[in-house]
Amino acid sequence: MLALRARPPLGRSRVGRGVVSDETFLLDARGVKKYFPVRRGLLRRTVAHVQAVDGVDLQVRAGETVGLVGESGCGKSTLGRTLLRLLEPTAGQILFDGTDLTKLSRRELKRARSDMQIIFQDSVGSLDPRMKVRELVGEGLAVHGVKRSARRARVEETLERVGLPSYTLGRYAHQFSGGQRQRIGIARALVLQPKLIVADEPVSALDVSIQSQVLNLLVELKQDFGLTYVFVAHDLAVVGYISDRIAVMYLGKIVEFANAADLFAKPLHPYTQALLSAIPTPVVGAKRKRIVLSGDVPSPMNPPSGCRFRTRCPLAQPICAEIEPPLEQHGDGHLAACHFAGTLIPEPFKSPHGVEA
Amino acid sequence: MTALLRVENLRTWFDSDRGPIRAVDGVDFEIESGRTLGVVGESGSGKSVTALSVMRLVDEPGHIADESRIVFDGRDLTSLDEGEMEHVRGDEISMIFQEPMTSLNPVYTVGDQIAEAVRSHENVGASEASVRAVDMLELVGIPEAARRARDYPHQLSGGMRQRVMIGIALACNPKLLIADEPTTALDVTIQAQILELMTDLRERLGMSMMLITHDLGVVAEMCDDVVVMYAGRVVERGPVDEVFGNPQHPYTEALLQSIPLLGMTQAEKLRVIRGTVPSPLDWPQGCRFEPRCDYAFAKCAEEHPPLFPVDRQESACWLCEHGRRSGAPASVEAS
Repeated sequence: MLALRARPPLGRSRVGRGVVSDETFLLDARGVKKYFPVRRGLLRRTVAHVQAVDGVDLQVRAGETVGLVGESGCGKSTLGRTLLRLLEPTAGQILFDGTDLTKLSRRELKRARSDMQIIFQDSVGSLDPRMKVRELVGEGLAVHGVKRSARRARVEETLERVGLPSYTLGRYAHQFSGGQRQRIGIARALVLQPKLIVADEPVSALDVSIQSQVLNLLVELKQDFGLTYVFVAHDLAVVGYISDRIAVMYLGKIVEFANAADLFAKPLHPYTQALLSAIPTPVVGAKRKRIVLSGDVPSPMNPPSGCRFRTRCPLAQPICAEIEPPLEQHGDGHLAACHFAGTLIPEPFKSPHGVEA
Repeated sequence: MTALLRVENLRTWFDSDRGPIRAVDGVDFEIESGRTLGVVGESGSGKSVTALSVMRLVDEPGHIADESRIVFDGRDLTSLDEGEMEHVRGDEISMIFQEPMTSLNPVYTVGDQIAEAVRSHENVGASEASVRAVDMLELVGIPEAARRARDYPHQLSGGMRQRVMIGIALACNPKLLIADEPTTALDVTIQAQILELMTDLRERLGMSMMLITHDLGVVAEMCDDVVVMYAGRVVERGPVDEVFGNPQHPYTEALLQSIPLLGMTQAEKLRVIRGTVPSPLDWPQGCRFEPRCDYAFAKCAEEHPPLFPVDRQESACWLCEHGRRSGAPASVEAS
């Protein structure tokens, strides 16, 4: 059904459309695709592909936080994992600190992993219930060959840094609250002193009072250790709070990429505009007109032709079905993929309740 | 205005080996006719158990204390037998839940499920009920309703399933709709659709609503009044604009300041509420928020504050004993 084509290798010049060319990046991903086969029938033949991430360019500077935001199925978590090669990319190259991760052998990749870590949303599922905190946090050190004697001090130091007292060393994950478990997850990532941390919905499962504790901790750790984050979340307010730059994703593509302040002040893509207007905010007098999009997100197995957002877009024109808009510069590092980028959706916009079948 | 629902001293406890779990422990509130009340709180605050108690859907080992009163439309629901309560549920009070997939029956079409809801409360024939089911699907904004009525729940998206649940809940024109986290499992653009649908239906059908949520933003956009719960009790209540605009209880204030607002950056530090929610097996003796409160003083640990009136609001904080509280805590910045 879908022919997978490898993207031709990029030349030395590293100049892509709409990409700042004369900078070096800690992470520089080009043309990243991740397709999942859909198998059916007795012979488990591949009948289709879920195009979870479909051609993404993403550059992350050392020391910055880039947020990936979007709704379920937009590919943000898949992208986050593919960037660390926790998932094997279908196509594309991922330069981390100058090395193409997609070319590394398993052994080389393992070595590189100590510089790039991940924090998961589900602090219950990602922590082995049979391991004590000491082992959970020290596991990465052991894998990377740090001697037992040196491990203990590193583990204790790290735990203290994330706000867990040392008497917790002998406890199991289930003995902690959600917020504390997330601190263990952060300690696991931090203990290896990585350069890059991908945080995949790290506060989504937490209550608001605990969420702010963890967000503040992540901000402090970044400053103290000069970390670089790729922060994946569905909550635009949270992503906006923690990120320097934000990539908005829709159906496997980045539709807008800008400085956080620019994105909020002047969203260029109609999807970003709708997303921003749809978020309820607890500020008195802020009740404003919502842009309510019609319909659901189409299936990533069979995305619409042209612009993927066009089936729900209030601005869509015939050209949108024919030509896929590239992610292009619209002034000072503000990228958007829309034929009508910058056009505001007239407010109040109210689509019929209708949903395309 | 008269209260459609008045809950007085609601205590819903669950027996356990380690003593009673006091999930809801002395809750009072009212919902006036035609108004929407938001019940907001974090996990373990007792907000969902409060809703289930009103529906009398609390199962063993949970039970509602004898002295609790749930007065709905002039009748005390706690004194009704199960048969009478069956009539109240659906006919007069309906409830929708967070996850529609688990509330819908996977082996019946959505049309049949709405028709069943209609027939269980009204004496109508099968064909009449089917017609009404399609009408309901249209009312909740499902296109090609006649065709969609023949779909099974798994064939619908999350947002559409929640529309079907709302359709079932409204099939018999209830006076009160209780919605427990109705949009929490949905994406933000789908949440916007469902919130708009609920606002629209509330106006068209003239019903009252009780909206249980952890999302203060949803309360601000949807509700007239709000009840803020913490550790099984109401800490503050009143009109949303006043409670959110000028919170009188330190917990409400801290909650509002701990959420990043759209457009806020790291330069502004988020307020932190230190520690965690206490255990319902062993609530603190005085004010339950005292161990985490930046304003606490000696009396707070000793005696539980009742709800004190502050203009149109009420706040269960000793600082409000003589009206509006003033001054900032010594340790707001420290965390």
